[in-house]
Amino acid sequence: MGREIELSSNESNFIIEGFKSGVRLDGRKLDEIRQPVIRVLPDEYGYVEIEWGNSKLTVRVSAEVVKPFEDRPFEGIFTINTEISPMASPQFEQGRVSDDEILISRLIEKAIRRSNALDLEALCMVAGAKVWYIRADVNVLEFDGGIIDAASFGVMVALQHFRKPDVSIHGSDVIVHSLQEREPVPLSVLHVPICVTFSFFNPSDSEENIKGELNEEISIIDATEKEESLRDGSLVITINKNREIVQLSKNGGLPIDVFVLMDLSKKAYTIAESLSEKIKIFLQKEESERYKKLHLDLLEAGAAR
Amino acid sequence: MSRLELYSPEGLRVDGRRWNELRRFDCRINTHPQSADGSSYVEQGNTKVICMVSGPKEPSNKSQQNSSGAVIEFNVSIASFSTTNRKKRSKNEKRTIELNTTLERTFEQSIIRKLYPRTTISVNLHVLAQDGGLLAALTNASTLALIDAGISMYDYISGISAGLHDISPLLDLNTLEESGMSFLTIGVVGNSEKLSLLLLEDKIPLDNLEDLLAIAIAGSHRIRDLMDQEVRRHANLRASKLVK
Amino acid sequence: MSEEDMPGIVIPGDDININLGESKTTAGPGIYKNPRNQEIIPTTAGYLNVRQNKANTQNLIYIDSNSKRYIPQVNDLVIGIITGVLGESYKVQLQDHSTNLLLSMTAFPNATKKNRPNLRVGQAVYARVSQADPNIDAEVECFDATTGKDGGFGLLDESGYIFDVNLNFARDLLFNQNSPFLEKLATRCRFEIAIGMNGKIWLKCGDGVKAREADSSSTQENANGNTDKSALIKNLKTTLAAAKYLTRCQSISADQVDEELRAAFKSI
Repeated sequence: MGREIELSSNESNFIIEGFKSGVRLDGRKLDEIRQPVIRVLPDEYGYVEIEWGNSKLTVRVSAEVVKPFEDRPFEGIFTINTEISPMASPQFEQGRVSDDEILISRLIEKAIRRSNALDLEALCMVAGAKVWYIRADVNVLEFDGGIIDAASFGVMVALQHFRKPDVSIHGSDVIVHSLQEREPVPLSVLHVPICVTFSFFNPSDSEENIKGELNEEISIIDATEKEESLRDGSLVITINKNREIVQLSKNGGLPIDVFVLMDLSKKAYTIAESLSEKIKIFLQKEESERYKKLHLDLLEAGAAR
Repeated sequence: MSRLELYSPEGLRVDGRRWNELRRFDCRINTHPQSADGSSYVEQGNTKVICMVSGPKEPSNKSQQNSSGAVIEFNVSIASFSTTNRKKRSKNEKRTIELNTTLERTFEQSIIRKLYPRTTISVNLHVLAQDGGLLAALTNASTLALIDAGISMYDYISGISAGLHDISPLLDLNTLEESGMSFLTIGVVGNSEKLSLLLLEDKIPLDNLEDLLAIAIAGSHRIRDLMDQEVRRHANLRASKLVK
Repeated sequence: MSEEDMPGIVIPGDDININLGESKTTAGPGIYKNPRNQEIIPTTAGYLNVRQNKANTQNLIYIDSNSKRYIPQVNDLVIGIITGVLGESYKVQLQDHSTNLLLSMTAFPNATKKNRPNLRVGQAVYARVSQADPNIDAEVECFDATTGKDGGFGLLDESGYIFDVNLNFARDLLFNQNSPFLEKLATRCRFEIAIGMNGKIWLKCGDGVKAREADSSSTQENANGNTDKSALIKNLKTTLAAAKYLTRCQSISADQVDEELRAAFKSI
């Protein structure tokens, strides 16, 4: 990472003292996430804008027909591309990919791609010759912490919102029908992983943390940029609403007691439940509006004739 | 493809172990007294790792120095002959960088960094053979080499992997088992139940997590004891040579 | 001196049609004066201000613009964060991701080579820009050079909160005596404030928030420990509410101030 923000000791004092009293700078509770705002385009599939507090990002899902990998002839290809440019925050440098960015993109990959959130076998058209290549591009527009949570949330919304063109298969020939010709088909999404990031703060010294019995480490959910720059460690829990932990990642940082960890994973579960519900409600509403609009258009076209 | 039986109904695993048995754990410290400030060699089953620590030394890059404590630098190199399929691995592979950062952040907390301001401690790890539990072996090798280098640490960090086969947790997986089930790797601080490192990459049910962590922690305490034995053996050896 | 303001928004490239007569004209910030034909061109977008003195012999033209990046100018009052030490000076940062300024260790009241201030990285100081030559590093100082006294400069203690606002809002709070924001705030709480022209504001409500010492002190004064804690939470919440109110004040019109104040202090 380039130069991080320089936090004055005044600010860090306020943040830490606030945590001890259960107060955060933006008025949230310690275990409260920033409620995301989802936006999509009315007449396009697979483009999603997520506003996660002051963090903002876009996800674009696109599809093309390619030849599959030789060792996996029955599977489509799915990649996630995470782009964090200096646009998001001056702390990210142009052209150089920092370790943190690699960790972020690896985590999103693990959470979504490795966990088979997208059914790759359903993307196969002609074995060994033609499969769908689904690509999700994440662009971070504004950075205020919580990128992993926001990006994986965005990718999952975009995958469920996206429709790939319908195809008809004749032998080894594939005809891709345009969106006007035939109703496009949704991707088969097997489950919805939700990432929840916990940040840990140690109010006493590190010796107390390792040797002591107090366990007074403070854990908060969904840290902002300022809180992230102060944290002593973090844990990303990816979980879906079927009570399956998809991925756990605590890359070092403050040691945390197992019982605390179990507690946190239960908190993560309730958050995952509410967020996946939110996605479901949003997509249903969006779908029905789109349907209404389409029918209105058809009616108008009929009336004009 | 016939499915390999990873865990038989009789409770035996592919290599004949029970569910809570470790593989052979063999370690040596001070293996390279000439070329490094601290060194170790760890064999965890067929996974073999050499670790060399040099430092605290002057940072090669002035901008890296930190006046509040030592900068810890990890460098994992995976030999191309370490797996059955010979494969050239680049140093800048995302997975390797992730390993480096993970180890760096783990040991940053357990090394008393403030004792060594404006210095770098660099830890070079060489993977000679891989057979599962790579991150765990790397963690153990680093702990031993850092102890050998005489760098102040709060406690041991011992790593181990554990997987979930249906509902039965299995300790310390080899490559075959790793490819067939979800597993996690943990790093435990000393004899406590505090996790400084936790990595799980595949799905497991939330309700089985607790069991899995329980055997993993028990396993890592066992590893800690084995490492402690070796350190003490070596220390006694050196002490006996001292002129009284 | 009579002031005759002729405000209006100008944009770079605009023609400023002002008949200034024979009087001498000084170009202020945002104005370029062509040395050949004395033509006046605006170089930033903003509010045009023209000030004339009584005798109509001198004019001052400048543009008030709303920027977020601060460029040091001599005699500006700023709040800087100490980011490091360089030889005999502290490195001071005025904004995130901007060039460091230098604060000499002797630029404090009563400081000598032997008697130095003891500042730590991360602490904030109120200072005056003493030197802003573009060719060398800009410098700030923490004392009143004319008297040698502290003159209100120096360390801003850690019990106050620091936050960022737009530059013109900071100037407005600092120089506009008719600005209603602070007076309104004073009706809700007791506070101390320091405003830097680099857009940083230091704010402390009540006694502020002191970092609590771990264990030792809290067990000693267990009796008043609870009252201490609730007072601290109150100060913390009040300060944050006041900071939120001031941040919001940047983007509202004068008649919304009361409402905004109520909203910010609602939860207290």
